[in-house]
Amino acid sequence: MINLLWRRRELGKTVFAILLTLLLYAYAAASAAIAALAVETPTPATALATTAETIDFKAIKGIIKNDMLEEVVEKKNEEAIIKQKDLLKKKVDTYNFPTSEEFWTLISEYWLIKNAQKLRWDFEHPDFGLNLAVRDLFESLGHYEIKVKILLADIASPTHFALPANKDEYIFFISLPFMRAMDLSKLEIALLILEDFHRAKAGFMQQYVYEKELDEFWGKNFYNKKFKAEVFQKMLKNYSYFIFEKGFSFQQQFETTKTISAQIRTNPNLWKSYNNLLFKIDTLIKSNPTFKEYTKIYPSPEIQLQWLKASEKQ
Amino acid sequence: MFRSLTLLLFFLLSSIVINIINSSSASSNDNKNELQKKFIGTFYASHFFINIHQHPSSFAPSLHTLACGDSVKVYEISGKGAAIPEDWHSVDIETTQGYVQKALLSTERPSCMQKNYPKFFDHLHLEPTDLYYWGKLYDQLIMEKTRVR
Repeated sequence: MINLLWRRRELGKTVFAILLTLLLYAYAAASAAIAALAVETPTPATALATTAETIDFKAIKGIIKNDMLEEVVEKKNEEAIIKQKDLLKKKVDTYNFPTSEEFWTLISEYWLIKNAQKLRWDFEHPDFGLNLAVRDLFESLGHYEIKVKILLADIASPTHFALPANKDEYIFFISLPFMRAMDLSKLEIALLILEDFHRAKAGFMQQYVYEKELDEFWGKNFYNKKFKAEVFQKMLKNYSYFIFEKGFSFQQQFETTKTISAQIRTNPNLWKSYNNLLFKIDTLIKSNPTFKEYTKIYPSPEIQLQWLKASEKQ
Repeated sequence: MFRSLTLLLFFLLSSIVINIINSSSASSNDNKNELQKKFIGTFYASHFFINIHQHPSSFAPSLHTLACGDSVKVYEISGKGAAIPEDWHSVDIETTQGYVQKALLSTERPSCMQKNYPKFFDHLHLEPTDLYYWGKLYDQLIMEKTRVR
């Protein structure tokens, strides 16, 4: 009897365990099925929202007038006109032309990328710390809040130049072989960049490369106006001609040298370094045929040294 | 027989539980050896065009070129073997993971010429190689700013 009772109890426990396990599986399967079947049913509101209706009110004009719906029609027409005007305004705004202050960095960088292969600025090189030398020199001479971009190139010529840029922004290009040929110190390189800074500030190159066709467009809108994109190509050609062929005049060199000498004459270290720099350049161009074209662009280091001596005596 | 059934059920359930415990401990071990990525924020390209690089170096291969105003997700990488130079960010954009110089990104959406003057930009007729080289230009430019007066 006791045995029978015990067996019944065991059976009950086993059946309970089996039923519990089956129940858990069934629950898990049902949850998965519900998740799979869940579909976003469209609401009546969304169905209506997307349809655009045009109703011809002419046929039922009399009825509409009596029901005061004419005002609603007028209001809808006004809204449609306002919406059209907004769209037109957005379209016209896409034809805005930048101001001259925003334009120069763009066109100068555009010239650099178009001449990437020729200028060979895309090459691996160490960090020479030139940015810090230039920053320290500029700050010591009172040139504050200036953005400087320096680009090194693995090409002997052009040796160095500053490109036109936006206000208080300067883009300097400098040849690594040129620097290495003279074994320039960081201060001498910074002084060379200072020369280019003053040339850029005076606007010598900018005045030459500028195309007057752009005068009528600065800061305006050219929607429905004829604007020729060829003007950009003309400017790029002007850039190339100035940098590779034309260069600066004696008068421009004299003004640059005079400006620098006035700035650095009270600092003996800078004065000596600048004289040293010009002497190194003069020696290099006379002894190394690779740099013989230097005076075509920057006439002439020898005369610059004479101007400095003359100003020193004064 | 009933006892054996009960024992069988007991072993079945205990094996399931042990499997669950094992898989969770394995995943936590994996996490300790992997690099940890912590989302810092969404940054924006702040120059005309910039490149995302395969490694944190301006001379590493470029994976993608961003236009001014394009957003990227910036992550801080930590863990064994994480060594990113201080002036670089680890970024994600869509399916691309790479590195960008910190100086070329900003935390706020900048004012971009491409967005402000789209038709003007169209007149430049930029080609895909131009965009690539423009990104390379910003990899090569050494940028500095003199202090405020």
